[in-house]
Amino acid sequence: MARPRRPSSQTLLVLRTLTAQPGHWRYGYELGQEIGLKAGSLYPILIRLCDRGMLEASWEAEPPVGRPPRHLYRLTGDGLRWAGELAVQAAPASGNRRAELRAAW
Amino acid sequence: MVIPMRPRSGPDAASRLLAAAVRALPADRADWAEAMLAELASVEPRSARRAFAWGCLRATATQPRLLRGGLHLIAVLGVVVAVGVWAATLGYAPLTGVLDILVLSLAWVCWQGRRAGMLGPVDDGIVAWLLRVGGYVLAGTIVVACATQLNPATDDRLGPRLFVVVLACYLLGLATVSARRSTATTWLRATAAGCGLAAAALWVVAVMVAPPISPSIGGALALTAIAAISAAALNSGRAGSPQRAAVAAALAGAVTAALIAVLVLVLASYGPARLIPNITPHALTPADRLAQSRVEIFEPYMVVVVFGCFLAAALGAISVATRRTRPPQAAHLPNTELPGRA
Repeated sequence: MARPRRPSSQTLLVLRTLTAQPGHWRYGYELGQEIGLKAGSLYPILIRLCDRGMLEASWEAEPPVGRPPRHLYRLTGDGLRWAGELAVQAAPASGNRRAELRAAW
Repeated sequence: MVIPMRPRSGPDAASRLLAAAVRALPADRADWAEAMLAELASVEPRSARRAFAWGCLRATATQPRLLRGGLHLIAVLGVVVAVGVWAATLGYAPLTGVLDILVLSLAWVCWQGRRAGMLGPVDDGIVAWLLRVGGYVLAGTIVVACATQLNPATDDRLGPRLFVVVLACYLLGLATVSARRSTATTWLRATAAGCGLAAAALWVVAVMVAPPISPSIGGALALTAIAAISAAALNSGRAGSPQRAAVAAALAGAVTAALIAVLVLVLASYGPARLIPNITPHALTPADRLAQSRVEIFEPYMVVVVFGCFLAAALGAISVATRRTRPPQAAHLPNTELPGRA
């Protein structure tokens, strides 16, 4: 599978939030509320991640009476590995930035 | 905020907006449309529902395929309007009418080319894409040829109809054989188009080595037949089938005939004088004879065009008759499971 390019900051936010509870299925709206992303930004990210096999989607098994089943999302094995790699890449980068600022000071 | 479902008297503005927005999503995004609608059913209060619906509308409107579809529609409509306006200024009613029909039929095929069906999305692979684009270019060339060749001074009623039939046959033939629902393989398309290109190249070499362009069409028809037989031979036997051989033969023949006709048109219009045979009365001055011969030389090759047109029609008919019953699934389907939704 081809690895995607470096994701946007919003995608990183989604990945970070989903990595916090790896096996836990999340609702789209709640996820958006938690990280402060509106549906217009969140759904394209979720669709892209699903298309690339980083995210798996499922339907709520037992929805409350009178309400349709909702979509649930969690990272796949590939998604978790990718999120881990991105976190590792981000760590030295932020360290370098700090060193640069210190040198500038 | 998400709160338990409350009975709702009917769909509110947010539901209606979202229902309209998700209708624009392609068929393989249907589960995302359902997901957005189901999510909205859990959202309260009204302001949050409205914001969520608008957000989903933005998400659907910015889907790349939808944007491409919108651009495609604008391009098709733009060309139709531009040619319609230009045709209206020609001041020759039959020609204006023919151009309108030609451009509308071209626009119709272009539009159908993005919809699932026999003219539908182009199959994977560069050869199928080249054939589809080649068909559009050929159709555009025919429209231009129609505008330049038809003579307003003569009341020519057969010419315009012939152009329309030729355009329709070629467009339908090339669109159906390059569509995803066609059973033509990349090998079939490549070998058939390759045979057609090779035959047309041989014709050009013959004209360059032994000018001028022959007023007799025997050589062009022979090359068309050779290309068709070669393509059929390459697609028959153990790996092929009679249907594939027939599609390959029709495709190779149609490509050869179309290319030779276009080459004659181009060489007759812009080629050096040594390529133009003298086929006009000797009473004219040499310059007039050359100018007149440039116009007259295409006439015998109309038989090649009509022959190619029959082959293109046969290609369309065989492609439709041997089409796949169901289009193959798109390569990128969302990874969804449906527990509890048997």
